[in-house]
Amino acid sequence: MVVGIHLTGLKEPVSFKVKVDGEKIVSMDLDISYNHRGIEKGVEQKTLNKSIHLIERICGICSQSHTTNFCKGIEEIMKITVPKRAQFIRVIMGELERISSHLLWLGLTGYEIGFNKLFMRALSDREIVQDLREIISGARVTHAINKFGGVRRDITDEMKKKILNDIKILGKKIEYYTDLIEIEKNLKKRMKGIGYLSREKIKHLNSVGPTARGSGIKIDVRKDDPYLVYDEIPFKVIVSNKCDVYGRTYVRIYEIVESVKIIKYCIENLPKGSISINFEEKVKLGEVISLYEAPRGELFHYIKINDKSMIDRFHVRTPTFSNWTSVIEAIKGMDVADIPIVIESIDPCLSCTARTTIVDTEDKHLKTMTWEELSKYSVRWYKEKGIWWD
Amino acid sequence: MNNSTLKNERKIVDKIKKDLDDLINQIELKRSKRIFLITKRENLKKILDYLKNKMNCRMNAITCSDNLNEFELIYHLWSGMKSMISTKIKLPRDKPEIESVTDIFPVANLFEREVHDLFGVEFLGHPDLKRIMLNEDWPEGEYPLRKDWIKNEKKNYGG
Amino acid sequence: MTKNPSKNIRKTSPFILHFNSGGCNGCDIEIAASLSPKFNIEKYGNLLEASPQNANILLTVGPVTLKQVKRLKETYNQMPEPKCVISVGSCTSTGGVFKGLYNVKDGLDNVIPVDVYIAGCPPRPDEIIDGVKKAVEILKSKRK
Repeated sequence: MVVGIHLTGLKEPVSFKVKVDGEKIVSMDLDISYNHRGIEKGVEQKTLNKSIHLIERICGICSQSHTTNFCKGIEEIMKITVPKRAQFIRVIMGELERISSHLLWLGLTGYEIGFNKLFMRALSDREIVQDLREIISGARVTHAINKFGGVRRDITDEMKKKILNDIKILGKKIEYYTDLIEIEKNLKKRMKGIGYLSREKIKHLNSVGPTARGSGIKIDVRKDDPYLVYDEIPFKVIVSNKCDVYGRTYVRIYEIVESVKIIKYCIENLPKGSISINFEEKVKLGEVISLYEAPRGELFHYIKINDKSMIDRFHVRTPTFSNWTSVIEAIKGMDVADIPIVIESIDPCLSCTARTTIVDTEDKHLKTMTWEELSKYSVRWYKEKGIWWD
Repeated sequence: MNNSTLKNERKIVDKIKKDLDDLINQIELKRSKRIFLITKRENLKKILDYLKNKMNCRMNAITCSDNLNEFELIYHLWSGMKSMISTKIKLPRDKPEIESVTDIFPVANLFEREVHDLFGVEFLGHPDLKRIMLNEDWPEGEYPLRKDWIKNEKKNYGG
Repeated sequence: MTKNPSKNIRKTSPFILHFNSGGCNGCDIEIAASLSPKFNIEKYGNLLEASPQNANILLTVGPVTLKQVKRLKETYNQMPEPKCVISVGSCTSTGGVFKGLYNVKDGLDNVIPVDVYIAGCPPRPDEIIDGVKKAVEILKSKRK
């Protein structure tokens, strides 16, 4: 039977074509063309300053990642040293974005497996971070705080007190999630052994971010190719050897803990000085490769500037694009009921209107299901096995 | 940015020069952790194979740019020795084709599909070179990221 | 603010379908945030149980990429009357930052009729809830 699913939910538009044999999945194909807008061509026709605003909206969840990566690439071509204070502020905004993204992911994962308490709690705790982002930059999602040479807004002493206080509260609230991942039996049953991708497989498929770190591979751009002031800040790279959905969940929860520590360090050690450096010259001819550790993994920008100071080529390779092959591999041999959580475990950066088509290899009938129907089917399937939350 | 002594990068450059001397046209150390190799199309697979097995590389991305006279393809690899090694090749504009590297790096499957979709480069031997970015109704032969492509308002591009 | 507004709104309790037509996700995150207890959009309508067959309100996000045009029209046509369309965000209303790019339709009203426009990039959850409240009013007037 073929199942088509019109997904409406909290994820991006993507289409999956899944071949099944009974209940087990044989193969999966995906269609990610729903979200293609033509940004790489668009920035070739805009000035550099206007491009920042377009690049910020490649993805709303990692907007800070995209602009910081772009700005530091241009600053590298111009050989500009950004003031230390601005770099610390960029790190703080980047880490706040990481916490916000991981908590949203936790909430959505909870929703996918029918654990509504986790869903509501994660979204609620996330509001602490959203308020801090708004206090510092003026906006909850797309900050518009980066500019060439530094940042636009400063952190005042009053803001520092508020940030330290709220980070302390958040640190206490995170204990619920660390306890959950260590103790909660039903969560372990739901996640252990699901979407298994061995260390060798991940290496072979060149995945990045928590997807790779959840399978024991210690890669993190903040340590491998340090940028901003990450070489000065003490923090750990979280790695899990479980290689399944549980491992990836573990990595993301403990990364929130590390991000809280990084923000605390940055606020306490925020150097005095200016928040930006002015430069009058036009951007020179050149090319640069800029890497950044976005919440989902390594973000890659290739920027080439022509002799008219316009962008000649701007190539973006998002972390999710590198990780799709690992989802296609991880889903093989799994049950249809595991599709939502395995796809969710790589934290795909997509907006949602996903469509899943399941093709039964025996009966060529096509059945279309929406993500919601698939989610509910998945929750029901596991409830019948005794894994459920009140 | 760290002002390292580039000792690590120079070691990598020396090793590559020694092992691949005749396969490489030029090798450039731009800054710490950024090495660029320029080579001919015929030598690409041998170089990528070497980089994967002897330099412990994983594939980051495949970038294509349109330089009006030709296409430039850059294969970005990150080495386990902590440096980016980017291999550049040039392809003629009238017949841009090259062997696929999906047998060496499976992740290149999606990267090559993207370059094919937006620039029209043919990847010979690719298992499934179909559309990935543009919708199914997008007309054949229209490659939006080429510099000379202009949208024809009278045509239907889908939707 | 009317006296006890939720009493009136509960009478209709519409189903709100969230559709992403190729946006950056910024508005999607704010719609997700509006589900949290702090904003509680579900006081005004059911977001999580909606489907094209039972939805009264279409909450659209994104500048409508060419690929999504067909599916958007299909979804709109499947919805029962009376229905109401909300265009969330600047790019959904006019194209926003994406205006003129080769794969977008520059705004929702080029594809389906729109009743409520919410400006912002992205709009805050309170602004989205405000738009939903207005849509509920429009829906009530369409029912008469």
